[in-house]
Amino acid sequence: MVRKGELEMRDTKRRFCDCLGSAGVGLAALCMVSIPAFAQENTHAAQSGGKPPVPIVGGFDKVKVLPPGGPAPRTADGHPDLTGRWYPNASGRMLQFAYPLEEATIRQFDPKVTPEEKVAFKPGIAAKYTKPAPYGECDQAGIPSAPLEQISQHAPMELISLPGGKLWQMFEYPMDVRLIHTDGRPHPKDPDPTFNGDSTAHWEGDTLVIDVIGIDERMRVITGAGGGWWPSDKMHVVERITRTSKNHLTYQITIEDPVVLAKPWKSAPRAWSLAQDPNDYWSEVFCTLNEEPAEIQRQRAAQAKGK
Amino acid sequence: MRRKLPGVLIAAFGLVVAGAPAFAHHGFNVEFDKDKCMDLTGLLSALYWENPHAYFDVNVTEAGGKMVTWHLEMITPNALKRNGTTREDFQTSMGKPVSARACPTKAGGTPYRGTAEFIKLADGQLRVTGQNVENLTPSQIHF
Repeated sequence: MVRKGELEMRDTKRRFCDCLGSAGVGLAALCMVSIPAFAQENTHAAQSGGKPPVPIVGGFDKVKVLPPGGPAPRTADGHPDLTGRWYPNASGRMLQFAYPLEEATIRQFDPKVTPEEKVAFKPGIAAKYTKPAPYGECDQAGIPSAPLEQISQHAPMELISLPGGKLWQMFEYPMDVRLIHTDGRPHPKDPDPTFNGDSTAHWEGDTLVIDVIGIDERMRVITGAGGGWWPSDKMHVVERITRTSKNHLTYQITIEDPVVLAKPWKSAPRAWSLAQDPNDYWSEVFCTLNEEPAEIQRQRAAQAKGK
Repeated sequence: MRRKLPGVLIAAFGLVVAGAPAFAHHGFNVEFDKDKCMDLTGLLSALYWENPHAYFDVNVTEAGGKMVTWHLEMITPNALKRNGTTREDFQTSMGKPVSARACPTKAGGTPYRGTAEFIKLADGQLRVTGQNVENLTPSQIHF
């Protein structure tokens, strides 16, 4: 990680320095001579001094709640085809959440209409279930966390429905790939523990109901509504995905854990919308701990001290 | 620290600015000071186009004439790209004057490190780069 004030070329693949190059600080200072307006201004940006606002890129003024777009397409077997790239909002694109937008375009549910209860832990459970995660760790992939935490991660989900009872589910971040059997097969008697668990699904009308067991106890549960916990090996997850129209689907998740939870936790039917940009692409978001090491160490030390 | 559901500011005109960006794996309020955000103007000197956070460096001359390099955190490259900002945009601004709305680390944190809410690159366009913890609207940015 670069220390402040240094201009080392650590990695040319990751770092670009057209003006300064390896000449370093001396050339940097030379470059600066030609720029009269260098300033570190500890004032609020709103103090415009008469300057006009700066135009912004991103097309945020075009963000809107998508219309239904028609009925959900169906596969050859007559069930709704869930295939598509989906964003965790109602507007069919990745939203930055840093630009003022109509609430209905960016939220996954309206808490006034479909509130989510707080997680109720079983009284007297061991501290290992509620201990915090180490500061700064990459966000948790796996079920049920990957779909639930998109309420704050805002990453796309790719669904690929294939003949023969297979549904592939991928999340861009936390990077995750998962196979869901949609032929209603029973779970293995004693599935190997994995972060995505063993997933078998069946259709109830136009809703795909996915039953998940065999989830690794190291899979930190994140509901996206704050906090998290570590599950027992008895955790059982039921997911319900309904493609309500061409452009929209809802994704509801229920978490049961007789060891950790006093009662099942149920998410709202959270909204997802179909990517509208024909040039939208799948990106790799391989998470590494690339923050300032000193900051991570400092925060982890503070975390340990607080225990 | 896992991020939490962003706090939402509901403005009188029905718009919201949520305080969390796409993709981050640590808490803003833990590391950065939203009460000390500032406008920084200087020469763009480096870019780190990597996950889960991209970063850029900008050389800034302080009031006393000392040149310092700020190392500022952004969101992920894919979120930047889908919101109109590419690696090429930064590359073409390298060595040129840029302005950023930046929030520094809290007291005791690494000096000249922070996070950038917005940046104006050499093309004069404003770009979203991070959490809008001040709940600014673009109309409030006047670099």
